[in-house]
Amino acid sequence: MHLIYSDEQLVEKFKAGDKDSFRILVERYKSRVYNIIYGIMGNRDEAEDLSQEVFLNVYRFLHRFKEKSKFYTWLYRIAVNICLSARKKKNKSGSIFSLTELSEVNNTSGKMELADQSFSSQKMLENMELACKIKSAINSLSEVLKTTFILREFEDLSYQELAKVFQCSRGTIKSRLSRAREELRQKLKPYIGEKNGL
Amino acid sequence: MDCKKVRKKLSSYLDNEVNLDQKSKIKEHLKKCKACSYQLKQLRQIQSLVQKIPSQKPEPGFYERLSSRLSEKEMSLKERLFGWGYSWRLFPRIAIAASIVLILSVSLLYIWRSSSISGVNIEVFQKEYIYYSNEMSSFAEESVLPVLLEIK
Repeated sequence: MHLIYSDEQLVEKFKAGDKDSFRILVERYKSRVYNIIYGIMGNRDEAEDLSQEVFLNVYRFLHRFKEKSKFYTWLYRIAVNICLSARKKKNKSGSIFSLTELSEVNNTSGKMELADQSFSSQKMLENMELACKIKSAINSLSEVLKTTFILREFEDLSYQELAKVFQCSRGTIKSRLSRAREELRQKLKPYIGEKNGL
Repeated sequence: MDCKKVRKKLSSYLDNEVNLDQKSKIKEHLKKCKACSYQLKQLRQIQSLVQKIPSQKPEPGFYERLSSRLSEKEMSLKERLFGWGYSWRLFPRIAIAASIVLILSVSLLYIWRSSSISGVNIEVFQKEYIYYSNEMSSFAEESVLPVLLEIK
């Protein structure tokens, strides 16, 4: 029988010396961590390298994890810190989604159609263009706004969880998300609206 | 609630992160205000589009690659502990410890020497004191004697 352990149980087992529980945690979270880092850094190689860096840190410091918060908020905090310090090192604003990745989105653009729109090639082209605009708009946000926005929208973290990840108040999270969305709305205004079913 | 206040809270409203009182006030306002409800629609649409961006996954074999990096790290830790690499890292600590020991030794030596030197001084001083005291007393006797004879 295959047992499904909770994160807390796996952390306990790891602390007790069961190294296999680390593998289960990696398998459970690798895609989410990779997706967040990819969203922030916009590069596959960096996403791979930094994701591994995150789990190396988890392996190294998991015994110090006090379990006051959930394992994944602690994990995302490590991921965010690693991304921000990597960004500082690079000291330049790269594109969060490269052109090759955009073409991948184009291939899967069927996912991008709006709920109330009929599926047509013309629509697909419009959606592809819109996807590019959205990604470029997200990329233009400041590091902190972008990271907060990505964790909220990609990982569906609550404001409380985001506050734990960023070690700030819920009010700060509210304000960051409000600013991020307003900036996105301003930038995307010409591409959304009545034309797209509003 | 006016438009300015409502627009500030639209993002939290969208995420259902406002309290019940605020929620009902915003709802009331949105019923009357087309501009604000249009803005909320735009935010909803952006949210819906962002959430539809396909998520990225690492290449297969992620754990194996991680595992080999982990082994490399553990190897380098052992090397650091038992190899030259670690000795060089320890060098500043060893230097600090050696300096402390040296300073303490010099200080103790100085204290010991100064105490032994002061012992010799006391001895010499005592001898000299006795010698000069005797000299002084004989001199005093010599100078006083003629005066006494005169008085007599």
